[in-house]
Amino acid sequence: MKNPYEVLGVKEGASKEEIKKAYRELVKKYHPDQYRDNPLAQLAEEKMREINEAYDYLMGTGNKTGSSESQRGTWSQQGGTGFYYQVRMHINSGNIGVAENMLNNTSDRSAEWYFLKGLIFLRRGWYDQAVTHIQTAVSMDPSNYEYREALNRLHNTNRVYRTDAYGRGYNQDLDLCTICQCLWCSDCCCECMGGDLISCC
Amino acid sequence: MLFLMPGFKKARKRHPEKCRVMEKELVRLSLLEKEKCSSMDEAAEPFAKLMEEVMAYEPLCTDSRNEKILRWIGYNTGKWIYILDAYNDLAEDVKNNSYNPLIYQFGYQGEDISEFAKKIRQRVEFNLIHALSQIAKGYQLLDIKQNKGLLENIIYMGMLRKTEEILGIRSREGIEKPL
Repeated sequence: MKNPYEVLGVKEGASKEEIKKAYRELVKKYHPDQYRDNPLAQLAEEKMREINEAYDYLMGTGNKTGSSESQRGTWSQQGGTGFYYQVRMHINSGNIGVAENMLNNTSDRSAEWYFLKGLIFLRRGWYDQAVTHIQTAVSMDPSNYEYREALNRLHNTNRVYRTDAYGRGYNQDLDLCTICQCLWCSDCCCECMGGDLISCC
Repeated sequence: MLFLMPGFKKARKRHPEKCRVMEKELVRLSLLEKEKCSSMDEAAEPFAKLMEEVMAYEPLCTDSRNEKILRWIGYNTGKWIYILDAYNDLAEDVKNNSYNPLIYQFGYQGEDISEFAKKIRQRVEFNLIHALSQIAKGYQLLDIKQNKGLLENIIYMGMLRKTEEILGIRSREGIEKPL
C-alpha cells in the first residue's frame, strides 16, 4: 500500500474533516463516470481503489467504501438482444476491433447499432463520428435513457474540462506564463509539422 | 520533406521503430489528402498516431500503465493540433486550392469563407475541447511530481487559450468561476 497521506494529498496528521474533504475532491475527479467510454477507464478504477483504500485506512473504518466497483459497467447488464450484448461485452473488455467487426458484419441498423458504433468511435478518439452516431441513436429512439445519457456525458466532459480551467484561473488576466504557453503551443504546432508535411497547414 | 531534414538519419538510428511508424503515418496522411478525405476524424488519425508515437518516449514509459496514458495524451494532442490547424487555415486553403478536411466534410460551396467558418465552429469546437479534456484526464492519472504547475498551465490554459483564439471565441466573462 502506498502512503495513504500521499495518495489523498493531505499532510500527515490531518484532521478527519480535512481527510474527508480531500477524499471527496478526489472521488469527483476519478469517479468511474468521469472515465466511462474511455480507454483509460480501467486505470481510473485502479486509482479509485487506491484512494478508497487510503481513505479507509486513515479513517480507521474497516468498512469498504469501494464505490467504484458497483458503478462499473452497469449499462452492459441491460441486455438487449444476445448479439448486442456480446458486442457490449467486447467493448467493455477493450476488444474494440472484435466489437467493430461484429457491427460491420450485421445488416441491422437500429438505434442500438448506431449507439454501440458511437461508443467504439469514442474509444478510438474519433469524437466527431462518435457524436454523430450517438445522436442518430438518440433521434431514432428518443425515449432511450442510455443513449441520451451517453450524449450528455460527452458534453459534460467538455464542461468539466472548462470548469477545471476556470478553476485554475483561466480567463483572469493574461499573465506572463499564459503568454509563454501560447507561444510554446503555437510554436510546437508549426515546427513539428516541418512546414510542408501537411499541405493544409 | 522530413527525410531531408538534418538530423533525421541520426534520429532514425536512435529510434528506428518510431521512425518506421512515423514514415508509415506520413504516407497514410498524404494518401488521405490525395483522396480528399471528408472526415476530420479520419484525416486527423495519422498525425494523431504520429504524436502518440512521439509521446510514448521510452524513458517516460516506466510501465505499461504509463505508456497507455502517454499514448492517449499524445494521440489527443496530435488530433487537437491537426484539427485546430485545419480550422486556422480554412481561408488560405480555399485561396490556394489546397486540401482541408473541413472543406470536404462540411461541403464548402464557395460561399464567404468566414461565414462558413462560423457555421462549422461549434462542431469543431466540440472536437477540440473534447481532445483537450482527454489530455487532462490522462494527465490526472499520471503521478507527476515535477513541473506540475508548468504542465497544468499548458493543458488548462495555453492549449485552451490557443483554441479559443483560433476559433474566435471571445473570453467568456459570463461563465461563473468556481471558487
